[in-house]
Amino acid sequence: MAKPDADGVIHDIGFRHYDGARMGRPFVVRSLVADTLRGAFGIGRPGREKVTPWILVGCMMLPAFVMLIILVVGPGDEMPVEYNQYLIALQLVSALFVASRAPYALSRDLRDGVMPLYLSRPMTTRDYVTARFLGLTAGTTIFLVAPITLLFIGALLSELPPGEQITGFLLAIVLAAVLAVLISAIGLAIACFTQRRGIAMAGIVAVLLLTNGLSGVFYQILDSRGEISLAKYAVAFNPYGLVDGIGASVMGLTAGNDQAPPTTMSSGIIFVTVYLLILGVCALILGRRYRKVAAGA
Amino acid sequence: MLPVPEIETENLTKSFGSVTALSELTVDMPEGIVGLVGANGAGKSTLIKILLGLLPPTSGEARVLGFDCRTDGPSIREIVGYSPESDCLPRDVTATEFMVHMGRMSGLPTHAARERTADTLRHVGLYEERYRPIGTYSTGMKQRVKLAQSLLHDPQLIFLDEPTNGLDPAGRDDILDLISQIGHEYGISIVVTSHLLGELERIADHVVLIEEGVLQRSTSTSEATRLAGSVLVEVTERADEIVKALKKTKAKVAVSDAPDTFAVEVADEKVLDAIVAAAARLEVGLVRMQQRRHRLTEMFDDRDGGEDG
Repeated sequence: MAKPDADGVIHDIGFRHYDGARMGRPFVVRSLVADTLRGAFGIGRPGREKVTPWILVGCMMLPAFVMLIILVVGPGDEMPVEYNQYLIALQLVSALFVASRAPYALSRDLRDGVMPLYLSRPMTTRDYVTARFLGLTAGTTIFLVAPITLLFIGALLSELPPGEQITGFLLAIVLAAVLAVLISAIGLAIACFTQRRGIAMAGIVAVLLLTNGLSGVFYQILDSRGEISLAKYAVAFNPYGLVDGIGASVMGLTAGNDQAPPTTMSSGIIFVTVYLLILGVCALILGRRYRKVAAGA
Repeated sequence: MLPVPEIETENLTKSFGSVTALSELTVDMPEGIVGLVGANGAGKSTLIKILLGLLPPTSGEARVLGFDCRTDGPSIREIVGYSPESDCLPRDVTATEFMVHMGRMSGLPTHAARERTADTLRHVGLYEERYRPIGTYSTGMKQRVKLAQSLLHDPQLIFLDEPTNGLDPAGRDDILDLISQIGHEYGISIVVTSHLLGELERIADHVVLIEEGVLQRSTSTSEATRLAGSVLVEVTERADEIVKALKKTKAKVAVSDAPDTFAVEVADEKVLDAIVAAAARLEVGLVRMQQRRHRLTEMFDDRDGGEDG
């Protein structure tokens, strides 16, 4: 029998059974959300997984940092850009972030065949997809809110009227979350189809950014036919334009798009309806895809 | 005491369209190590998925540790472990990170997941390599990680689907020893599948054989091999007289090629007494009485032969 001794000899203490708490499904899902969020920034992952997200974080923060310095040092008594406009102006960077992180959240588990291990845990396929979505959305929201927080600090330091700034900042945070939900959902709905991250990334960039061109084309066509009021809805064809439209029409923010979206009550309803429709389609795609994955797992 | 059935199925049927993966399967699996044997495509993996509550059966009932597989999937999966047949390990994280994550996915609080990760990796012999990315592991090491993740949360029962896949004979023996240790020393019941009966007979307490979704046989291995076994007897002299004496008691005796050696089929314990008694009466020395367990493979071969004939 092994007995404690002073020699520091390692004894095989045998297999230890566990009689502590088993936390159940809500804890499992929360843990998976946290894992996805960490993964979005490469935390706890090998070095090369940190490179892309942190370069993008840098790109996202840099303009805000420059603006902060100008605000504090320069003579200006006006914000160079509204908080929500910053989100639209840097859409290239946040689109690349989602394009790189959505495949990391899903394609990796598909490629390495990890799904059966998740599904053999006390959770469901739906729990898995929901957790991945919430984690990526949280990561994207943080990614979007970080630079406008820098702007806000700049505004406070340069003693711009705080009331106005706080309202603008808080509304932009809400808009950032609205945007993060949409682009994360689109990113995941594309990423779930392929195990190849490169392909998923290209697909997501195409949908998030090239649809901008589509909006432009529709705008030009409708505009040339004299349908100006209709042409203003063309922004709804791309995710950033759509969210900008929601900001302008529902939240009363100054639009970041050149082709200013309509700001009426009815246009707000239309934009929100399109927004929810897209989310519904993404949920449908993910649901169908993962039913297949679960059956094959 | 009769072994308690940990898994019970009754008329369990699973069809995928026109393909029947499992047909009217009624079987009890006791605690200990159960070998689930069948050719590829016999329905082993389908059965495991139903038992995990991941796949609804077309008809029939299945219960695991008292839980209904149709309705209590998450409860079953909390106290059951599973290692799938396919590759299932992320390449870019270390075994430790992967295990801690999987522990939390089983509902272990983070500190418990960390503690048990180190312990479990030591048990499967991966303690030194635990901070290396899994992508750099050999096939044998990956099989150990797969085993470890199924064991991490101290389940009452684990399902191992073809755990020796892709291993060389030495690696296969190592994994089988490890499984035997888990099942017999750690007190965790195991259902282990293989398409090779031969490799499971060494470690399994009970064997369930299925073919094309139909139950062929469900037997306790000790019972099966003890009763169907034989002893090899070697005496100092007069072997033929002992053989004659034994044949009078209606024992089945086969003469061996070696001098003064013969084999006796052991129908029950009395046969052994008869051998000793005969040797004593003729005053010859018993050199050895060696139990020759029938190999399970032979047993099943007999059955197949019988059916064909």
